[in-house]
Amino acid sequence: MELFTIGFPTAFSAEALLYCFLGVFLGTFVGVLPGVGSLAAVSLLLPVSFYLDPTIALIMLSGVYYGAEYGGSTASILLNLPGTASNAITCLDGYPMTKQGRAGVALFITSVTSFLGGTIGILLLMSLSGWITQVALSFGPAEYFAAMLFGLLAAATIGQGPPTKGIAMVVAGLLLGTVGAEVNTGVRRFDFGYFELFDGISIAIVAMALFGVSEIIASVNSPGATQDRVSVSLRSMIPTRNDIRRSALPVLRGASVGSLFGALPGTGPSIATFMAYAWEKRIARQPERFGKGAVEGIASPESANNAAVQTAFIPTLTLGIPGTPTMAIMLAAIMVHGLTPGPGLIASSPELFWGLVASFWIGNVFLLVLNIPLIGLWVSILNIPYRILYPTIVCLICVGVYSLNNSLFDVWILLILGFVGYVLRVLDFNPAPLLLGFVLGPMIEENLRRAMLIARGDFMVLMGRPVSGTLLWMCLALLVFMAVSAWRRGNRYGQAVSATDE
Amino acid sequence: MRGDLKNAVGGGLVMALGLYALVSAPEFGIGTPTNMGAGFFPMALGICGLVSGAVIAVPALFRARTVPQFQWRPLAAVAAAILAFGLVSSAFGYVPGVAAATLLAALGDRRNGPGSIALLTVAIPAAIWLVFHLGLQISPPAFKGF
Repeated sequence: MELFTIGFPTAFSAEALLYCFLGVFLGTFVGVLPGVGSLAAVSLLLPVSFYLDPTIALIMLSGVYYGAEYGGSTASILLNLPGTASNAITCLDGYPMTKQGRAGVALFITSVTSFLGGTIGILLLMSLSGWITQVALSFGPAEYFAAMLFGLLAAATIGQGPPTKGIAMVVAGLLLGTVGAEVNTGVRRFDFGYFELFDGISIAIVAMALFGVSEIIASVNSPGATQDRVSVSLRSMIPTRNDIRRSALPVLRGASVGSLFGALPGTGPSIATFMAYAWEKRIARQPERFGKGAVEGIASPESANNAAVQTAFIPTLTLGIPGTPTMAIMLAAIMVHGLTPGPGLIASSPELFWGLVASFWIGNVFLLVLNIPLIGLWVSILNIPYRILYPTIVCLICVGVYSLNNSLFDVWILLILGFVGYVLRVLDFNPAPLLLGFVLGPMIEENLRRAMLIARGDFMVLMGRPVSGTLLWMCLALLVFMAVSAWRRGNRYGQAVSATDE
Repeated sequence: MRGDLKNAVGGGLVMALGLYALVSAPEFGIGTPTNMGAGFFPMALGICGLVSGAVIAVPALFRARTVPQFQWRPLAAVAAAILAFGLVSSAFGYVPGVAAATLLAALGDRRNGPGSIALLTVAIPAAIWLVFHLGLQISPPAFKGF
């Protein structure tokens, strides 16, 4: 109900519509570019959002996020080069369709299934948020500590790469988060005497360094940069009746998988698309069609992708717990404007929540309507050689960081962390858990301290409470699962897939 | 050197980080579990870092050899670009900074010939000036000291 009384009026203001469109457009543009994922895109535009009203800022940043996820699928289909990690699955059946001359149909199907998946995700966001908020209002520091710890461990163990490395990255991130003045005592930690570090390192710099700079260094000179020119006409986009029939159920299956994994902390669009594809292939009557241009192979993952993107907002907006690094940036955007994330957010700022939800509807329509005629634009961008694009991106990152605080110090931090990020990539360590640890670190520490104070130093009290106890047992279960798998497979999980994460 | 160097070095770095945290923690004040000081969390994390780093590094020394592959040219180019951006921007404003950064970054790809580099070094600062100075009106000065 509030959707119509508060949400749509907010989202339909001229300013909101403009920034929603801008976000979706820029997001798709950046998503199409190889080497820059949705996380880098959102971090790049975070400084711009500082000057905007908080609702508008979030509308724009969200538009960038789901726009980038969509744009990435365009690159996957046409060039076999995923624009973002979660679009890697779309390459499997999308690129063969291009080679069969059916690129237009593939692009059309992904537009429509993304829209449908996103719609289902939004519906879930609307219906579940109220209930979850009610439950969360009874959360005390013990519950928050347990929930955040579980989210971090889930991100480390379930995400890409071996769980042991994930946990190491989480620990590194948590430590990085301790830099700066400690909130309760004012003691300055790890700041080497630099007063610029009093408030800690800015999350935008960490995100751009770890994901933007390092990704660029890794992508330059990579062989994928030479490609044949592709052209797509509007008429070629119309699917056959067979295509539509085959896509219908996969859309629903994909959306259900995506909604589940999107809402869970630690998992996001990447896992969701992988699971959706695996499910389709397993239940297909002719699984050998997959990998050769099966329409189900793009319909389901794309639906899952967009559903996951929408439901990822559920824990972020209702609990204040980001499930993925991109959600962490959204949280940062909320906090920068002086709002406190958590269960009280929806009640204290209903126009933020409902305006945002309404903007998701509008943004998804923008994506659907715009991307069909604009396909020619995206294709021509993809034809620009990467060797010309990446210096532009490097400069964008530099100026973006410099403009955060008008501070040269931030540029040096960018340089150092960018180097660190590249080293991590070369050593096959995924930086995503590091960013999550970095963002959640201060909050975890704060909640642990309060919980321990209340429990008078007895950690067992936390295990005894129903919610925090359950979550802590689940953490233990995750650690055991990780140890057992490592023991059985000798820590051989195969190469970590490209380290850009959502 | 034998062993899975990627994981050995990676694990070793995490252990080093953990050790540093553990050693620095007491000066922040550890406190008690009930009344945690500023050093309590870093100390706990330091221990976790040592353990998780060791779990990765030690088995790695006995596994098949892998060597980390660095791409030196792009790394040097991008690092030099950011460094140049910082130095030039502080003296002359961010538009000259961008020009310096573009020049150095473009050198990272072997396929960029003098023509492309020259074009980019002119086009990108101009575009950045349009978007950030005229459009977004960010606070750092675009040109200074002239």
